[in-house]
Amino acid sequence: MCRQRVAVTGLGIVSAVGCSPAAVWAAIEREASGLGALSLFPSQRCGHIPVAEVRGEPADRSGLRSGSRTDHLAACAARDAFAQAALEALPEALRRQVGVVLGTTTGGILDSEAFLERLLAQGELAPELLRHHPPASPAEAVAGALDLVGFRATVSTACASGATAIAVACDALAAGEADAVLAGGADSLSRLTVNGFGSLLNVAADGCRPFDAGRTGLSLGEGAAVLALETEQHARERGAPILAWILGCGSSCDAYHATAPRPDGSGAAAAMRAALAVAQLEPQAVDYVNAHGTGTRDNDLAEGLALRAVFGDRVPAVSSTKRFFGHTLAAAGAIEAVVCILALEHQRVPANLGLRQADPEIGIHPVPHTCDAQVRVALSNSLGFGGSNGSIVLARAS
Amino acid sequence: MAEALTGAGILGEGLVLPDPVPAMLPAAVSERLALGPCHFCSELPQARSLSPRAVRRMRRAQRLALAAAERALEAAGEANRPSDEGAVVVGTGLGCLGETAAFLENMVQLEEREPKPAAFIQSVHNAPAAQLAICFGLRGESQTFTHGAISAELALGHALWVLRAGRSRHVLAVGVDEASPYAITAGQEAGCLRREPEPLMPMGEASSGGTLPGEGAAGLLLGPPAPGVPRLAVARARPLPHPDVLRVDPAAEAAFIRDALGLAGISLDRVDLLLLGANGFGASDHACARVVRAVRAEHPGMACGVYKHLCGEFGAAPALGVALAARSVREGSVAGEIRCLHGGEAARPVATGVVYHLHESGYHSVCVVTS
Repeated sequence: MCRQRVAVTGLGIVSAVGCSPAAVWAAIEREASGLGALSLFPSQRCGHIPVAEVRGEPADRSGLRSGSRTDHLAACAARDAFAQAALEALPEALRRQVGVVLGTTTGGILDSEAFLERLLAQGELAPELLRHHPPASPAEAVAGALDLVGFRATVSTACASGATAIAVACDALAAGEADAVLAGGADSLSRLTVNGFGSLLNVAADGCRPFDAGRTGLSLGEGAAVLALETEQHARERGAPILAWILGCGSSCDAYHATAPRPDGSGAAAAMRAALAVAQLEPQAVDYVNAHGTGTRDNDLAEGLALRAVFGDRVPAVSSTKRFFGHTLAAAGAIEAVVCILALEHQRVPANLGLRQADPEIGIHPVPHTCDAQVRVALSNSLGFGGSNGSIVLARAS
Repeated sequence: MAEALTGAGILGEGLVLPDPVPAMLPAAVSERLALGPCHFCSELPQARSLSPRAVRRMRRAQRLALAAAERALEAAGEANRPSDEGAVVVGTGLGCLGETAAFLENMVQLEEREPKPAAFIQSVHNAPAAQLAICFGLRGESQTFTHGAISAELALGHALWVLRAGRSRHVLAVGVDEASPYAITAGQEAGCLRREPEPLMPMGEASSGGTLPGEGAAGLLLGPPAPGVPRLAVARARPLPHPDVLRVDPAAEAAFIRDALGLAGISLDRVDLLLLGANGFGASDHACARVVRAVRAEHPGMACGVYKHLCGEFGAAPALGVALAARSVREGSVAGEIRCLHGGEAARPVATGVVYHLHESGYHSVCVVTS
C-alpha cells in the first residue's frame, strides 16, 4: 500500500500486560500472560472465562474530561506516542495538522450497553450514554485531547482494523494528506463481545493456545496501541528519533464467508505477498512473523497454510502473542506492530505462549520461548471477520 | 507544480433512496424512545444477485448496500464487470447499528441466557463490505470507513488511492447507513433533529427546526478513466479549523473548495453545479449559505442545489450526492432529483460538479466530479 518507507517515531501501548513498551517487553521476557478473571462487568454466562483486562483505570491518565473506556484507552496510547515522537515541539500550525487514523470495532459500546440496560430493564431513558457510541469517538477523543485538525479517519474491518488503520495512515502520508499521523487501534472488553464470541463457541475456557494441537479457541482482551508515523523526509528534517520503518502494507479479502477464513489460506497469503511487494522484499528477507494466531481451529490452520504458501520450506520464526494480550480486536494489529518493533529493537523473538505441541496439520513450528534472533525484518498479520486481511512489513531502524 | 490528479472513471452509479414522505420508524422501542419522524425504506429493495433465501438472512445495512452496488454494476454494464482482483470500499457513519441493537436487546432482556450468534456476526461494521465481496467475488482490498459525517468521502478518497497506486483496476465504492431508533435518540439528545413530519427543506424557510434523520445507499463502480465517462477527480474531507460551524469563514471555505479543485487542475470558474449537503440544521445551513453567497458572487453562472430532502441526514449521505453529481455530469444537465436553489433549468450544461459538505459535527468535504 505505501510505496516509500514510513518512519515510526513514537509508540504508545495500553494492555493487560503493561501500559508502556518497556512494561510490555518485560512481560514478554518473563513470558507472563495477561489472562485473568473478568472484573470489568458481571457476566452470568461468560464471567468464568479468562480475559486480558487492562488493570487500573485508563480514565485516570487519558487526559479526557469524558469519554468511553475505548476513548480513554486510545487517548492514553496516543498521548504516549505523541510525546515520544516529540511532535509537540512542532510549530503550532504544523503540530495541529498531525493526522489521526484509528481502528475500532465496538467503540463506546460499554456505555451503549448501560443505556440499553437502563431502558429495557429499568424503563429509564439516558440518551447521554449514547454520546460516545459512534465508531469515530476514539479518534475524536484523541484529536480533541491533542488539539489536532489534520487528516482524520476511523476504520472498522473487524480484527484487522488496527493493521488497516496503519495502512491507511501510510497511504495518507504517501498521498501528501499529512506529514505525520497517529495510527493505531483501540477496543475495550464488553458484554457484546464476551457474549458474542461466546455464542460462536470459539472461546477457550483455559486460555488460547495458538497453533497448538489441542487449541480450543480464542481469548478476548482489551487495549490500545498507537504509532506515530511520519514521512522519512519530515522525520529527518526535524531530527526525530526513528524507532523502525514500515516498508510496506498489504490487504486482501477472502470473499468467502462472514466469519470463517478461506480454508486454503489464499486470502491471507495474498495480503502477505502484497505487503512484501510494496516493501520490495522477497519472502526470505523476513526474519520474524507475528501471526494473527487467535487459537481457533480454522484461523490457525488457514494462517499456517498461508505462511507455508508464502515462505515455502523456509518459514521464518513465527509466534502469536495473543496469549499475552488476549485478542484485542481492533487494537490487535497495532499492538502486534508494536511487538514487532520491540523484537527488532531487542533482537529477540517473543514466545508463542500456550504452545504445548505444535499442530502437525498446520505444519509450522512456532517459537515456544522468547529467545535471541537476528531480526532485521518482521511481518505482522491481522485477519478479520468478513475476510479482511492485513499484513505489515517492518524493518529495523539502524 | 504538482501534476493534476486524473481521477477515476465513474463507470456506473446506483442509488437507493428512502420513501419520500418521512414517517415514524416502526421499531419496537420507538414508542419508549419518543422518536420523531425519519426518512426510511418501508420496503427494503430487492436484490437480484442473491436468492430470496440468502437475502432473507441479510440485515438492513447489507441489503441497502447490495442494492446500491447492484444498480451501479448494472449501470456500468457487463464490459466493465470487475475481476476478482477488484476492491471494495464502504463508508458508513454508524455501521451495522440494527444488528448491534438486536444482539444487545436480546442479551439484556434474556440476561445473557440465549445470545444470538447470527446477530453478533452481522453487527460487525464491515459486514456490508464482506457481503459485497462475497456476492461479486471481489478479493482485492476490503475497507470500511466508519467516521460519521465524512465516512463516504473517506471511502471515495481511499478508492482513488487504491486505483492510483495500481492495487486494483476497479473499486466498488458504497456509502450506506440504516435508520436506527438509537441513532435517532442520540441525535435528539444532541438537539439537531426535528420532530415535525413535514418534508425536509434544506436551506429553506423551515430549516431552522433541525434536520430529519434518514437512511439510504449509493454505489459507484470506479475504474479507468474513459472518454464520455464522468470522473471522480477529488474526494477530500477534513475537520474544520474550529469545531463550531458558526465560526466558519466563507472566504476560507471558498479557498478549501478552490484548493480541492486545484488538485485536479480545475478552476472554480469551470464548476457548473455546486451540490450542497445542507440538511435543514439551522447553524450549518446558515454557514453553508454564506459560503455559497461568497462563491456565487464571483461565479453567478454556477447552478446550486441540495439533495438531502430525498434521503434525510445520515453519515454516508454524501455518497448519494456524489452519485447525483455523476448522473448530472453524465447527462450534461442537473439531475432531476436535485432541488435547485440557483440556476437549474436555466443553467449551462454540467461538465463539472462539486459536492460540498459543511457539517454541524465539525467537518467539511469536497468531492469533484468532472467530464
